[in-house]
Amino acid sequence: MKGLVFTEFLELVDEQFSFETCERIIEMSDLPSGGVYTSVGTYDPQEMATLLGNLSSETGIPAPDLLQVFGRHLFKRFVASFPMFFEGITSSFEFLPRVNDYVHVEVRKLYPDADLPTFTCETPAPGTMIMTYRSNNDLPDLAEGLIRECIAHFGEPLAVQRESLGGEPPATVFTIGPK
Amino acid sequence: MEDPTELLRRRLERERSARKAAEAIIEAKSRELYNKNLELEAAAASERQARDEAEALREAVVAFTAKLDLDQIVSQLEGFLTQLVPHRSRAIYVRFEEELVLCAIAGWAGAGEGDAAPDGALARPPECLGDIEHAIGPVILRPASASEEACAAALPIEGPVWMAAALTAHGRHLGFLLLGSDAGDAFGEVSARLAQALANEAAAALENVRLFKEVERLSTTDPLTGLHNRRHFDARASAELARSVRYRLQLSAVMLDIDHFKDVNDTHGHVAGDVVLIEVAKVCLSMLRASDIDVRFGGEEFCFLLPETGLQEAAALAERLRTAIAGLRFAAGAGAAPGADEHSVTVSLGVAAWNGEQDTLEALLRRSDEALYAAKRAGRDRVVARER
Repeated sequence: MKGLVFTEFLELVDEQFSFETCERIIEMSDLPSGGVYTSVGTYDPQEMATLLGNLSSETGIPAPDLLQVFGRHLFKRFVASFPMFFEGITSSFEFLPRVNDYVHVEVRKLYPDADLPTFTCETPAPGTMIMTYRSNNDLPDLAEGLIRECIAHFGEPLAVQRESLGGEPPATVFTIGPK
Repeated sequence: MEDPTELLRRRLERERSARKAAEAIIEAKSRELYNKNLELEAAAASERQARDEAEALREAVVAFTAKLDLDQIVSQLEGFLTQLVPHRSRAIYVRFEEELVLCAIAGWAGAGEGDAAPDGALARPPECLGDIEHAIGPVILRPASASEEACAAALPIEGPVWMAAALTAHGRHLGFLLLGSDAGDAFGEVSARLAQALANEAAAALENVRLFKEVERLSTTDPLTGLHNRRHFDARASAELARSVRYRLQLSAVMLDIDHFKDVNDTHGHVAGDVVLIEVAKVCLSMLRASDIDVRFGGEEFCFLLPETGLQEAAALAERLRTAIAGLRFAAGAGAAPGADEHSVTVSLGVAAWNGEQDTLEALLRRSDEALYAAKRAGRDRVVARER
């Protein structure tokens, strides 16, 4: 898992909870990396699961909810850091297919070995998009947070429904359509 | 609760470690980019070189295609070699008929003044070169053995490194070029490739020259006798007539007809008839000057136009032709009638001279023809010269 996900996660914990909470969950997690993350490095995704579990028990908030919040936070950071991916894009239906077709293509140029999730998009009817998420890390809540924040970014009245398909790697289908 | 100072210390420690880790990653990435850039620069340089090479060759192709003369092609080849393939000395051999002849030489100490192609033994390639003309692709040699040293010393180029490239077009071996250099690293891959490409272009141009000459020859000569045909004769005769008028020169025509040629065919067969025509034409060509214009009018009738020649001289030549032809002996051919033996032929010749500005080619030929018939009527095997 890319280091950027870890550094963003810890920053979010700092902001949303506290510096002390952040230090505590790192201490509790007893991580192989020692919690030393750089955005350009790559780390074991299991460390994210451990950190998340400990944050949940520390705060009493269910892990899936935390992940959704984290997804929304990541999307905002993404918009701020990579405005070039949004040039001339005016809707979620325009942007979401570009994650797979363009954003991840560019990421691979920098990190050829990155284990990236896939997002395949279909438009079965006008106004509806079916997005299938597959990842070895299987974090559908994180994906949902990203999708929801994307919709919020473009200010669209769209609803998101989700269904697990299982499989290897596990797939989750998001149906995005009118409310 | 933990000590806040302790928490801060831990955070600081982690941040410092993270910074160092990030720096190491960035450093590695920069090095990777730097190396990538070096590769790109090298690729761009080789791309540029390939482009320059292609451009030079394209120019060479255009230049060679425009040439229909051997000397021009050879000097063109020398020019491109000088420009594109660094070397100290060179020699170019081109095949004439069956012989390889040294056509150009430069930079060889043994050549003496002016780099003129030497005559005699050096005009032919040393035997030790063997089958180099049949080599595919350039041959680069650095003499290793004593015999190779001796061969290198026999070459009209300066070593110690030399390269040979065959001049081959459409499978025809038209010669080869030799380049010599005293630079140990001479004739690398690029040089070798360029030299061979230039040799190929020059060879294609040489082959064009050969084909052009062949077509020209075929279109102007009679295939059986090798004498010129009527079309060529008319063109050259008109030019010669104009010259005679302009410079007030003498001009004569000799008309020749083989006596009783039909009997030769009937008695000895058509193949024997052809042999007679060929041999008679050969005798005529051997006795004519280069400036004389010959033609086979068809059948067994030949005509010769003799520039700057008066009636008496023309008649004398006609008499020499008559005597020489009468001396020819032909074996009885395969198509000969039973009992036929060795045979000979006689010819009748009519001679007429150009009468000045008012005269025409037709009139001159007609008068020589009339003289020929006078010779026939008088009993054949003779020369009749018509005064006017």
